[in-house]
Amino acid sequence: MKWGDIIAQHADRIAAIETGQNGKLFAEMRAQARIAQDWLYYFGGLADKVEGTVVPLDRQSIFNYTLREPMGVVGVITPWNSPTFIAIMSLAPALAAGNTVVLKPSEITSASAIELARLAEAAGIPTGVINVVTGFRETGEALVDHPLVAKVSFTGSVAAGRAIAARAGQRLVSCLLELGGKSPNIVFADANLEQAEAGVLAGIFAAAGQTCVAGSRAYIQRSIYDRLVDRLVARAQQITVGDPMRAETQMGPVATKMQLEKDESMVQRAVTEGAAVLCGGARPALAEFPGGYFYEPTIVHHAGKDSFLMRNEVFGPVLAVTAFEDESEVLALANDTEFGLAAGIWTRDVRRVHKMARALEAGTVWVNTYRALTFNSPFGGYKASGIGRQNGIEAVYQYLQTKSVWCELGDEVQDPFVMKLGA
Amino acid sequence: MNSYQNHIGGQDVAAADGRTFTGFNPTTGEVWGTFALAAAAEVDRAVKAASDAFGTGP
Repeated sequence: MKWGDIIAQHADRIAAIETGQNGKLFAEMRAQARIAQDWLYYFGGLADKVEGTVVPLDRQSIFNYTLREPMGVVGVITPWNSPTFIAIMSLAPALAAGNTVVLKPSEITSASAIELARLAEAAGIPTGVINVVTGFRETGEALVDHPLVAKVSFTGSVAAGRAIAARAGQRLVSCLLELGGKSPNIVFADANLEQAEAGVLAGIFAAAGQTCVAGSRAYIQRSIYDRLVDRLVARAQQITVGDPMRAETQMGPVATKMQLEKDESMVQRAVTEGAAVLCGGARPALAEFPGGYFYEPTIVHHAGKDSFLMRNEVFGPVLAVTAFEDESEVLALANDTEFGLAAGIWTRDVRRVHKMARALEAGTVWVNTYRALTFNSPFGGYKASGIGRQNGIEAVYQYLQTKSVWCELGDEVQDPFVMKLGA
Repeated sequence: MNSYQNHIGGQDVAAADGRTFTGFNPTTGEVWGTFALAAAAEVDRAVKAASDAFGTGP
């Protein structure tokens, strides 16, 4: 908890480091560093609430209880998009469960992880509890392969998640995987359109689309389609793109040259496959930052449901809009993806809300809101978007293993050739 | 220019072979800082430090 206080005190410095390395808005990085405190308070508070059970058996002479034990050393591999926030989200439950960790941050954003480890020690967490190794894929592979690493927690792309899980599988070590998405954001005609408009924009252009929960497929009901798309395009064109350190900036650069090239090539491929660009689709000319990795807020339509853009995560500010007629059509479209991280629904119809919430194959469903996350509400992916859950008590259980202890208290001598069943 | 090492057992630890890598500032495209490039040897040290800390915990 003291660690959280110290991180919050250093939030400005940590946020400047993050923005310097990943280009996300200083304001968002600072908010994420401050809110680390909430996560550490919550999980710090759970540390002494990990309890075993006494199992009621028919035979009174047997005392059977469970111990919930930590795994040992947890290897944590984090991405560049929200380095401090995701590191804390991953470390807090692992530590609360009693483990120690080795953290391998993304090579794009390695600095904040080291700062966090130093602050942990300043807060009184013993040395060795949190260690940081920096490097590329090979460093992560050495960590996953290490025989003393008992659990792996990875947040990042689906491709990397598959590779890590396969590697960990060789040693039969379990993984918590928090992967990507191609999340649908669904707007019905009866929605509060101002709210929906803001929510669709927030879902894709906040953080320049570099979030695992990006609402990159917007499905808009036919009767409001033209009107809402016009408004989205107008708003997207007004987004202030520029220096992420400035308070008035709404979108900074994307984090790497490779990401910039990916954004470009995916939009180009979508156009080749029949889509049309409604706005953006290019690098903006920013006189102040000629070498920056900036990409315009981009909206495309007429991307076919099986096109590369609709099937794959961009991880950039690229929104595909599609019209739909009714609930059953949009449900089929929304679920027709290998991903299942999040989904948004915008409607005033309460019956539709709950029917859709059940039917959508996603770990998080947001209704009349988007990109909301907190420490005590479970977060994780269905399908290829991940394995396991972060946040909430469930997150602590991911880093524990259960031992069942049997004690015979009576004097009865057991038949050596028959297994004790049913106690 | 910023410079960081691995953080193992409370210490700054360079890569045994001295290798480093560079981080860039995406706003300017310029170099932001350098980092130790951890190889299997540093990972092993870090995991052992964590394992020792686990063994001596409360």
